[in-house]
Amino acid sequence: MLYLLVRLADDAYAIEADCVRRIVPFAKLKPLPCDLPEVVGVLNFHGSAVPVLDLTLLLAGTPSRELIGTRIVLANVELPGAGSRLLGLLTEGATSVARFDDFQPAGIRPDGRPWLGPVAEHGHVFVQRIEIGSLLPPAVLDALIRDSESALAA
Amino acid sequence: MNWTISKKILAGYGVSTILLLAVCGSVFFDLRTLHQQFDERAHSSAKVGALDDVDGLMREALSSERAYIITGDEKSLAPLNDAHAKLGPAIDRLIGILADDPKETSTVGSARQNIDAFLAVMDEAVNLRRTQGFEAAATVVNSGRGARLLETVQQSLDSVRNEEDANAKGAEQQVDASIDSLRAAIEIAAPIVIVVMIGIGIFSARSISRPLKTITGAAGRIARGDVDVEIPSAKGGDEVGQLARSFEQMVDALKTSAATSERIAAGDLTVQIAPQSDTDVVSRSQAQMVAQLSELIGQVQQSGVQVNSSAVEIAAVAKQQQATANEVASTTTEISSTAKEMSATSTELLKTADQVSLVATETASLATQGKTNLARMEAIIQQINDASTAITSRLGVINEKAGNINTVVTTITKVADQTNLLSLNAAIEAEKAGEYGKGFSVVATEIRRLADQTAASSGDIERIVKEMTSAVAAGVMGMDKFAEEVRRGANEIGETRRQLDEVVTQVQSLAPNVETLHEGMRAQTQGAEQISDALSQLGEAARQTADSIRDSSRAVEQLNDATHGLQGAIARFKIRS
Repeated sequence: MLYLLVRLADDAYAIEADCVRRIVPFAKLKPLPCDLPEVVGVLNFHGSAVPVLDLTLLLAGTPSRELIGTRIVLANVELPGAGSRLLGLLTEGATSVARFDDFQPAGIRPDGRPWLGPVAEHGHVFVQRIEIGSLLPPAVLDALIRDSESALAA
Repeated sequence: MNWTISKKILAGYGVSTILLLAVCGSVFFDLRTLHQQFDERAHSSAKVGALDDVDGLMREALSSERAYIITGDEKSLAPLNDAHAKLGPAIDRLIGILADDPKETSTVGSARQNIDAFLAVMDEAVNLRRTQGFEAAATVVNSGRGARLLETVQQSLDSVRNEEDANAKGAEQQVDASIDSLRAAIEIAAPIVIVVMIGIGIFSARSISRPLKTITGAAGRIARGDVDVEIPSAKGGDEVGQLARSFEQMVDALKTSAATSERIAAGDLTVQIAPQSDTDVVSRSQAQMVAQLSELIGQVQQSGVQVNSSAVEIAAVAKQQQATANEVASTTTEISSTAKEMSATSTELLKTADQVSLVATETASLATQGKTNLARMEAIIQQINDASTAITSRLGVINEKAGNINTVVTTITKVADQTNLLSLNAAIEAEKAGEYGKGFSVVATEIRRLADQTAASSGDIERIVKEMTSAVAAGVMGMDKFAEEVRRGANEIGETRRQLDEVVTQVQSLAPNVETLHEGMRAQTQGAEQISDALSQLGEAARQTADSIRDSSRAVEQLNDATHGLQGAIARFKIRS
């Protein structure tokens, strides 16, 4: 299967290419008042409101910098009863794709980060899969999408 | 017996006064008794007088009667009439006097009847004479009745008189006895009183004078400076005893003071002096003396130590001075010889100066050549300066171009990034297209690889441009420094040229100076000889100085010995620290 690779410092993460709708360059975001620190704003993607999370902050603990290679990955998220919705992931180092098939379960599943999935070997580094559907609880995601729509409408 | 002297004297005179009063009382009593006895005697005399009156009147009455009877003359009856008138009162008076003695009163009372009878007989005889004449009257007279009555009265009166005589005799004996007792009292009491008073006087005088004598003797010994005296009479409770105790205290104080003085004299100044009172002048002055002596000795010790150390220092200094003087002496000798050498050398110098003059002329011509060469060099340096300025401005242009290259590289990087993004999206879309997108996927991968290579190359370019920019900056700085160095070089060349000018001028003016040098050298030779002479004298003076310093060293040693002696003398004083 094809995966989008995200390299942050010495670590590498993989996002399933099937989930990715589009990768867009970094653009100005509409601010969104929210309690979650990783929510950085709302992106207007062809008229639809897409909430954007800072993936660098979630993975490396530091906010994303405004570099040439800083991008927003638009991923499809299944919302029960509402079908597929878009979630933006602001990240540095999303510059390549790769194919993996044999993911091994990770030895340790850290608390509070249920979205870090199994591990595969690519070259000489380990790549950990990011489960996009587990990034936010469905209720929170629903509320966030609705807030984003109202923010964009305003 | 703890009696004060005044008490003793008062007691002595009290005893004497009591004795005197006793004697006076007994004498007074005796005198009163005597007075009574004299009164009694006067009483008895009055009684006898009254008896005699009665007796006389009766005898005159009898003789008057007889005379009348014989003569018949009425005139001779006057005494009888007188007796008639007076006998009654006389008897009354007698009875009054005798009232204290009842027996005598009764005797006189019985005699009164007989007196009355007698007077009656007298009157009978007188009447008979007058009426019947002499004869009748003579019978009455001859009957003897009148005479018998008179005799009876006289007998009773005599008995009274005898009794009174006996009484008077007894009273006289009593008076004699009283007088005797009075005399005896005076004779016995007076010597006793005198003896007692003399005894008291002697006792009082002795109780005062004997201890006073002891104290006087002790005071005399103290006055002669001997304080080792004993006061035996200090036990008494009287004033002299108190005086003796005070004296003893004084002697104790003097002994303490003497002991203190002895300790001070022995050099012990640690002695504690406690004043007996606020007015203890001796102790205070001793304490002051000890304090001042301590201070003085402390100062003397200090001064001794100071003098000692100063003497040691002086000795050291003198030794140094001696060494210095010796050095001066030897140095002057050396200098003297050096001056002689100088004199010789200056002659040689003169020759050398001539050679110098020659060399200087050559130098002047060489310097002129150098000057022209330098002028050429200056022109070349100016050209270098201009060239370096041009290089600097060109480096600025290069820097600017490098900035342009940077902009282009950034654009290329952005384009490469966009290409990479597109290739990623294309790869993802191709994956989604499945079998149909496989060929497209390969193309996308190839595009991404090209984009990545472009990004890497543009990164290399960016790095190279950065290095070039910094190299250019270093070049600009280096050129600035070089231009500065060139400017400094030009200045230095100008300076060198000026100095060469001066060299030429001075070398040219050297020739007349060589003549002056000749003159100076001669003067120097003479001066060196004079210096040599003066230094010989100085050497002699230095030797003399060394000798006198040796003398003063000896004096300092003596001073040192003296201060050691002084410290030894003071050392026997112990000072409270």
